[in-house]
Amino acid sequence: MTTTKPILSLQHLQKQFGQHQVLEDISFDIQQGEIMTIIGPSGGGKSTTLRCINLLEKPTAGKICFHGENILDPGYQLNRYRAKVGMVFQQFNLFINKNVLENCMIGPELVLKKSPEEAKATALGNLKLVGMSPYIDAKPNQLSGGQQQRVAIARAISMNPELLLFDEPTSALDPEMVNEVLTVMKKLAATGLTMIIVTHELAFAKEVSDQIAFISGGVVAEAGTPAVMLEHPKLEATQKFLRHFNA
Amino acid sequence: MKSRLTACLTNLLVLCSLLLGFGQFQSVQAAKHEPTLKIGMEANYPPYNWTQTTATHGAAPIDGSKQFANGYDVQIAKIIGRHLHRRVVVEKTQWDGLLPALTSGKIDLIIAGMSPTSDRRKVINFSQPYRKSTFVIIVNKASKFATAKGLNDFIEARLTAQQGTLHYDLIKQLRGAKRENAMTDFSAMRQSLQSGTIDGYVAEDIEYESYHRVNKNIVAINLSRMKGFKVAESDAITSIGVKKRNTTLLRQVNRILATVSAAKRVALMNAAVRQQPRAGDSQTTQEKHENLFVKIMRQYGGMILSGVGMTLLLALVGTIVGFVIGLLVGIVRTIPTPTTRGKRILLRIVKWLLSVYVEIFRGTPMMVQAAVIYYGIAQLWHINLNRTVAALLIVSINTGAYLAEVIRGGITATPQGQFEAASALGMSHSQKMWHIILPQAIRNCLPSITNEFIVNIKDTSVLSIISVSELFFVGTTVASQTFEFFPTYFIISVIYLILTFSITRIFNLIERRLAGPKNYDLMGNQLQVGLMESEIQHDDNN
Ligand SMILES: Nc1ncnc2c1ncn2[C@@H]1O[C@H](COP(=O)(O)OP(=O)(O)OP(=O)(O)O)[C@@H](O)[C@H]1O
Ligand SMILES: [Mg+2]
Repeated sequence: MTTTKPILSLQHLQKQFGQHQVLEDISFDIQQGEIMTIIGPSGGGKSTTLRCINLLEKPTAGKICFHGENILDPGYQLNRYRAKVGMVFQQFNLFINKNVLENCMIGPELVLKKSPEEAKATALGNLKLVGMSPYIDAKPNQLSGGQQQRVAIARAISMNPELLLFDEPTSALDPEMVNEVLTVMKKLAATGLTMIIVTHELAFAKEVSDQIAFISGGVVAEAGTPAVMLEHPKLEATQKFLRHFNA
Repeated sequence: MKSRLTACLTNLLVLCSLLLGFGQFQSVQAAKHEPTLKIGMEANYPPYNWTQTTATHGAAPIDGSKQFANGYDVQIAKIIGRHLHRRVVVEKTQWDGLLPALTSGKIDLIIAGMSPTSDRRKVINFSQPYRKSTFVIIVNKASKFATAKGLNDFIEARLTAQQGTLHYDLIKQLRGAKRENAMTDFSAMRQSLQSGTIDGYVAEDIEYESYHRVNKNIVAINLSRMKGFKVAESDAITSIGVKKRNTTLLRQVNRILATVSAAKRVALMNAAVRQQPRAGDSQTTQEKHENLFVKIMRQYGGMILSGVGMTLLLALVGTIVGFVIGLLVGIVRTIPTPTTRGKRILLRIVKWLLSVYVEIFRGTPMMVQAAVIYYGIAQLWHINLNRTVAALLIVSINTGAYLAEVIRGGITATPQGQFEAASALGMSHSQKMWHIILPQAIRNCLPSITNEFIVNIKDTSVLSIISVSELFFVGTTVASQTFEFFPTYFIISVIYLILTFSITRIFNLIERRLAGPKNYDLMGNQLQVGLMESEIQHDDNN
């Protein structure tokens, strides 16, 4: 497993907002097809890490290597990279001026230059996958949170990404809608898509993850397989964090 | 939906041009190939000059309209034109616009009942006088000032005169008189005197002669004959204004004036006083009063409609072009900082220039902008802009400055998550803007854009400073020809109200259309939906 080249490798990533050093040293590798879950206390830097990977924030130091190439090198084709790395947001962020189908078609059409027919076929397939086919004409504000998040997932996978990032995809949802989104994510996991998921749903993490990282104070404090991380974490901080959740 | 919007706008434009066809755009195309002699005058100062709808009594055409000018000045102009073998065309210009129009070369001569004061002589040259004046104060017969004999008899009298004229300065010689704000034209002064907001106004004897023909309730008090009254020789005469450098023309004008005898001049002036427009004999009787609106509409309906067309055209084109300008400026001002140094500096310079543009045009009145642009361009670069083109330009640039800020606000108010989701899909900045951000920003700005349109309908009235025949300008002309101020302006204000009201409705409709249907139809039936949901649940249990 360690012999293959990682699809993504973070090396000593740092991020500073003004005087505030938010990420001190984030390093980890993720292999093709792996699912990694990131847990940790609020303000620890989980979102910032994801946003750096997707370049919504510009890292202040360190490397982000995609297939072995540092994307922070000048001259790297950033828009091409972004198209290959998808993101699902906590607040869904569907385009409110477009309906469900258009939300899923616009990326492939504009960025991947697909024909409308092709983009539509892909979008319809993915909407079916997330159980949103009946709603293709609806505008985002006419949908429930869970429905919006499922469309957001369909939108992300319509780009046929190599890596998909989730930032607390169920945190903004009412409890009864959490499951419908997790179910869709499990379906995706089964397809072999590489994913990095920030979540507080530990049962879900245990079920789908290949590895779990505990990020706190801007560093990867501890990482390992779900069995080790959730049952026998080494660090006091990790134990304390988990106790809080299991209580 | 987009095409329907375009169709709607095209229809409005067609309507504008149709209305304009009622009189405005058909400029006077001469059959003769003589060169023109462009005469600047207000065409609103009888008996020196006035506007009429027909060519009777040897009137001269007014450039850019279907109307004609006549009066003492026009007759003098025609004598000069005949000698020079040039066809007289009147450029109807507001009083304050006359000097700039001459110096910028938009007109050849000012023949507008103008006195060669020393101030004016600094800017332009004047011919030998073509008339000598007597100064009077016109008051109501019933007024206590009607019997005034000397300069000291006007204590507490509220007096006025035309703005920017010698008349207004003469009031200072009347001890204790209260100098009210100067007015723009004689029609306004007549109206003020009639309504009692002033006690009198200073004018020439000839103004008394003309006004007395339509209003027997006034008297003139001769100032020129009062003891101690001082007026420079150059002020009591009326001359023709010629551009400083144009000495040949000045010499020709003087030579021609010398051929016009004193008797001929008196005859011309008397004819002008006789022929000048006057209020209908309907002034007093109640019954005829009721038909006034109808009468005005019948006589001047075409003119008023063409004014409506011009106003609509200015407001519509101004708002659309202004919107495009505002959109571009708004977009540029929200471009994120680029990575390379050269581009960063360039962007900073462009942004700075744009904010200067926005500040200047939001910070100065449109009336001033109009005067500066219209006369400035002519004076600096000798480009003679067509009035309508200039007006369209000014309204567009002005609206652009306002809408730039509105659209920038709309862009910044779009939730950050919309930008981020678009970035996450790998869209470029311009793709994000055109497909995601601007459609949302524009929809949010639509109420402000409607508002700007309505403001434009009303505010284009200030363009009368460059004599564009929009609704207000037409109203002023009609009022000064009919002397029916209240009915004319009442009609005009009702038309403004109808315009703004219907535009508000139309835009509300567009807004609702853009919002899309309130409900959506489920593709397939409810059973299927239930199936989908249970399918997900089912997988969950596996
Ligand atoms: N744009 C920003 N400017 C300044 N500080 C920021 C910015 N974004 C995040 N931070 C700070 O960085 C730290 C880490 O934030 P981050 O959102 O990554 O935490 P998190 O681990 O995702 O927390 P949570 O579980 O609450 O989402 C916080 O202290 C936050 O205040
Ligand atoms: Mg977070």
